[in-house]
Amino acid sequence: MKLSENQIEELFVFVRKHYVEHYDLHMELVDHLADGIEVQWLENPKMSFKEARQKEFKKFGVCGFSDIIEKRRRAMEKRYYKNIFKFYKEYFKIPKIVLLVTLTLLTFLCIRLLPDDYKTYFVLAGVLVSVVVMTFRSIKNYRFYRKKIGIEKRWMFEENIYNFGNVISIVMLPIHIINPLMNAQSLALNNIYLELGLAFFTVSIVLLSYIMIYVIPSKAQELLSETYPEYKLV
Amino acid sequence: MANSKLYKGSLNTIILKLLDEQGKMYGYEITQKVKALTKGELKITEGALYPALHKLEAEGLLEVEVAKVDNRLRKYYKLTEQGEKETVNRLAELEDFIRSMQQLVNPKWSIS
Repeated sequence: MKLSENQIEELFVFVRKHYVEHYDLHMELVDHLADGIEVQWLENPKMSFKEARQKEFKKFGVCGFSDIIEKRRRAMEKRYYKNIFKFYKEYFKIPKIVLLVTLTLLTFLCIRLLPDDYKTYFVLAGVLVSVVVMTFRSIKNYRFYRKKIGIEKRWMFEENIYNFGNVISIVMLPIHIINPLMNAQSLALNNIYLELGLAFFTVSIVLLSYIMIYVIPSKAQELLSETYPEYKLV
Repeated sequence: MANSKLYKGSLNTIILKLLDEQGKMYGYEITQKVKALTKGELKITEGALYPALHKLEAEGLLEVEVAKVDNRLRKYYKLTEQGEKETVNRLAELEDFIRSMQQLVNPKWSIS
């Protein structure tokens, strides 16, 4: 005996009630429950739909779907970071490497020409601008994304694209690194290699932010189709 | 098997090996296949299977394919090229591990 369209729809409601918010998991869990129920009906055709569903759900353990959701979230974040890295790597190949080298040299020149006391402020400003723009964009994106909830299907990877994979906390990290430098600025900042390193670091932070804020969202549809073969089907 | 902790570390390898043999499989099918192959001795729990599948997918070892079956969509997993290579490595590691365990549990004493 096969499940009817209505019973499938009931299973979608069931997984949503158990805090599964994203369609990528809905589809897979509904199919799993449906398979299990159909096998149970083969052994015991008189079993009710609800009883069979409950029996299948119990197999997921006491935590229900929560462990699956959490691990899926981490897997999707990993995929997001991989994508950032993929776009960043393009700046190490021709023709984009020309831009990377030019920007690094220009930043290096600025750092070199600035008086010692202002060098770290310059780097800090680059990082701060990135963080501020990213924070504002993420708030704006979140508002846009909230409008979708309950109307359109939600995809975990899409959420990562719009909230930058919760990466803001990571972007704040350079500030913690720079802080000790601020205190020891005159000590080390006359070193040409350190200045070159700082220039590359500043350009990289700005580039990574640019990739997260502009490049990836502009390719959202393409990346979603790549991540989810079902994206175009539903 | 009463103690599922014993196979937990090998779950990913079991999945990779199955997909290597079967081509493509969906979640429920994997649980049933393992149950059938081990005559019910080893049961992969749903709570462990999907996180493992999603992790392998995120690592680029698996790719997914979606097909409409009956009145629902079904997600099939299959090995990527990288996944095929990794299966060979992980199987070799698992075999080494099994050999070491056998030596530990059942040492063959010899007089040299």
